[in-house]
Amino acid sequence: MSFKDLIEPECGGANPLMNLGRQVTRDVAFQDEGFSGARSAFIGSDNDLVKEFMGQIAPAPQSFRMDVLLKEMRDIDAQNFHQRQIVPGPPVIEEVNRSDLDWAKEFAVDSSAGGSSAHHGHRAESKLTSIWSSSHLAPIEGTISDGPSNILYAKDFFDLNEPKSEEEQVSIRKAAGELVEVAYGHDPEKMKYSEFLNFVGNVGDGTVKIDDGMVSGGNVWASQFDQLAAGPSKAATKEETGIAEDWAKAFEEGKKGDQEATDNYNKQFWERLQDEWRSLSENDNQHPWLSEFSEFYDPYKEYKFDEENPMTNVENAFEKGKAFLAQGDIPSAVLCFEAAVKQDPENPEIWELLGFSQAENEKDPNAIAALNKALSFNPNNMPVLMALAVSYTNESMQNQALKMLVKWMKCSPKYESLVPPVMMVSEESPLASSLMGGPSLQEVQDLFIKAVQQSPNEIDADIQEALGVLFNLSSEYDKAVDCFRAAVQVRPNSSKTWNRLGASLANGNRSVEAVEAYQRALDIQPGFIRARYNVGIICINLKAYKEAAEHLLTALNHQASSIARAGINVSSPANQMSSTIWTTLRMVMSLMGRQDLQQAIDNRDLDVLNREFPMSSD
Amino acid sequence: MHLCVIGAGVVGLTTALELQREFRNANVTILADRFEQDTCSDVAAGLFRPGTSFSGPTEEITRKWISDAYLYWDEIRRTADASEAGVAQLSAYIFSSTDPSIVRNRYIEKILPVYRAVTEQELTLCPGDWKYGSFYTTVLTECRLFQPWATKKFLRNGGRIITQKVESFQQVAGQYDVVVNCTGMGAKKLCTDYKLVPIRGQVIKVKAPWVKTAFYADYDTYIIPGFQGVTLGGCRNYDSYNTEVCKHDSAAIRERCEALLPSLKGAPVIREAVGLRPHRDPVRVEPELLDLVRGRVKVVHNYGHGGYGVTTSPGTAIYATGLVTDMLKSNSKL
Repeated sequence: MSFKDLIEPECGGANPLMNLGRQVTRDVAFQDEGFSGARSAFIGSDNDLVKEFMGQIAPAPQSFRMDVLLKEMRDIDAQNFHQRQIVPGPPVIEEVNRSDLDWAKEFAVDSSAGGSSAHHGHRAESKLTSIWSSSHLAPIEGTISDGPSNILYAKDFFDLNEPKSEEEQVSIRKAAGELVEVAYGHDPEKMKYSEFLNFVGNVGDGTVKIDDGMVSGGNVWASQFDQLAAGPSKAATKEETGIAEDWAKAFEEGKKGDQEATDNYNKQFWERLQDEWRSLSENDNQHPWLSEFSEFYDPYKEYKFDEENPMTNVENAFEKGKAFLAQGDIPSAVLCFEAAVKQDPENPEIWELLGFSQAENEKDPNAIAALNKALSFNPNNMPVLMALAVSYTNESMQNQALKMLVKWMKCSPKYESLVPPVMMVSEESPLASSLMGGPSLQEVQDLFIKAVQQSPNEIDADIQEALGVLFNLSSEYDKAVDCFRAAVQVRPNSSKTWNRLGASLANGNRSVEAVEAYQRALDIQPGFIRARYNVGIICINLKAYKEAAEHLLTALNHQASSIARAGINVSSPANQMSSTIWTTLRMVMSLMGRQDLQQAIDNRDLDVLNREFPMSSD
Repeated sequence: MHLCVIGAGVVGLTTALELQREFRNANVTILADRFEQDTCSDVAAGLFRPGTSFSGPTEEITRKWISDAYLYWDEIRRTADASEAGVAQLSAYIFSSTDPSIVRNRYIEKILPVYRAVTEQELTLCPGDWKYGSFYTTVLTECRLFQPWATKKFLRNGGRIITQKVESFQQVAGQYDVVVNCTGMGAKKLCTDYKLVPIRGQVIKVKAPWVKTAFYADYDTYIIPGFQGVTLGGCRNYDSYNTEVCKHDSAAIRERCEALLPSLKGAPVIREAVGLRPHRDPVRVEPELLDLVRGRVKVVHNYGHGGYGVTTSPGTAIYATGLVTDMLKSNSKL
């Protein structure tokens, strides 16, 4: 939307039709001369209407999409109409036709009856101006393409009083004719309902001539105005032509800038809105109301599907997905699960696997949505609760993570007795929790430590993993490492656990050991995108930016090519890639001083980046 | 989450405000040793007019900074806060007797509501043989008002200001998640950045309330009416560290401005000031990971704006905040 269009009065035309208006309406201040008889009733009661119509070339924004229309006009003037179709034009006019048909009819009836007053003053007034403004736009295309430069029209804008040259007369006539044609297009019947358009039609025919502001010729209404039109306006001088040309040129050039600036503004506005929304979800409550918000706010409620996943009739998508998982190809598994879940949205098992896989695919937001959906079928699903806790932790949504962990413990027959009633209550009643707030990090840590102490001789891998997550939250990374080492002893073949061990090591700046852990994870599951991403992070920490870029690109390529492997069509392959990876890649480019690639990154252009960082395909 | 901004000039303040906006629940701290009237920003007239040589890492990024900055200032200008914040609309003429390209400005011609060539008649507005000129309508930010206003806003949002001279990043290691370096000339020492060059500028602020439009003549001479007086300038001494007012510069400025606008003769002087514009090509807004003895520090640099600090600070603040976001998101994932 161009704000300038709405705020500033239209200061006029670069087209002969505007000129036409000016010609006819030069004097606004005609008096109600008190004509006797039928006509006066017409004039008098519609005085306002005509005044309004005549006086303003720039009506206030109306309910018809003025901004679109005015912007159209400017676009056309810039002779960029190849960029924008004039398509909206005629439909709007048709709209106007339809809705104004009655009014126009009455208007016509009035004038022909010559007596019955039109009682539609204001309504008609505004609609008339709309018709005027909407109508005048359509034929501009035609006139522009005629060839005479816009400068001519700007000149006309200033030269109101110059006697019209033959050429200009012709152009006016032509414009008028085209207006009628486009406005009422292929339905000449409608024409007779509009006096104005009739008038314009007559101009086009040549029956009515516009000459130096005077209208001569047959139309009743027009000649009335002719009589009423008084006085000369100020003479335009030659000097104004020079200014007009510069102005017109500058005006056109300015439009492109406008467009960019307002697009920029719009984009910025929306981005800010989104950012505000997102940032509101962060924890660390300062205000009780805000804490309630952060507790129950979940921006990932609804799973966002890739726009079109037309292979919804892929048979056994679920089985296929599981097969991919077994192979370790996470992105392909994800695609299959998405297809499966579309076919069978009430199947909690698919949602569950989809959630787990998306987390491994480095797409936590999607994972959270899917896991929550699985939870809705079975609120006591412990693996899902644990996975949610981890994903929330990664997304810095501490409160939600803690809630999930407490819920998890409550569902565990072994440990549920450990959960103090206070915490339990806060789960049950949202109202209560808004007063008390969620469980604190310390409380939950103590809870899980108690659980460990409950069985000192055996390692409960789940408890250890949960504790590891908690220690990551409190930045006690060495303790977290100990927990995950214990967990990995019990589960040496869990790539997820190895990854978590690696992440805790990395967070604690033990980069070399972290790499070893990630390597184990990738050995078990070569398509473990998250682990690959984490390796990239290690490279960044070690200032090996080129290698970091290569790892990140490897992950992205793997995701992008999953479409082919899974045999499922998607309309926007870009959505299969993880935003987190792109964000980090952008940072790597900045760190490397390769801001020239920023554009490619914003466009998610893998081809360009692959060329810049050639890797032997693996 | 703890974020830190080093430097409290216009760049530091806008960056701190932007961080607060982006990270609602973070604790933002400003560390600086010079505030308000002791900063380079205080000397500036504050007219929104980026020089055509102003450059960021790429042309696109530079243009984005400038358009973001304009929208930021324009937004404040449209609110009731504008008078307290010191932001107002101002029109300006720029004349040249030598070169038409001096009066053009590819960065703002499309952004400002008005940027046009002057008429023959307008060229005669000021004494002198002016051959080329432009007229434009832009925004002015009076730092004497903006800095206190921004500081108040920052503190009201829960920010914290600590007076401290930061001579090395060691001093901030381990305490903050990300540190944003808005130290201007200070970065020369802090980062050992040899590309940072001071461009000395001197101005005279006079009381001349009848001047309502800004005038630039061939760049070196400018008359810019602000909220608290009219700024007469100036000079651009490359690589000069002299922070004292020079009487010869003063006389030259006065003479040139009075030649351009004779009504200024006798206008009383409010104050004279010197500032060292922290110039760098390109302006440095980029991330850096520092490995120090005390630990790793994530830094985003935001300095080197030269004579266009007031003008472009919001744009670079927004960009720098984006870099902070990227840095924060890029963690090892469990």
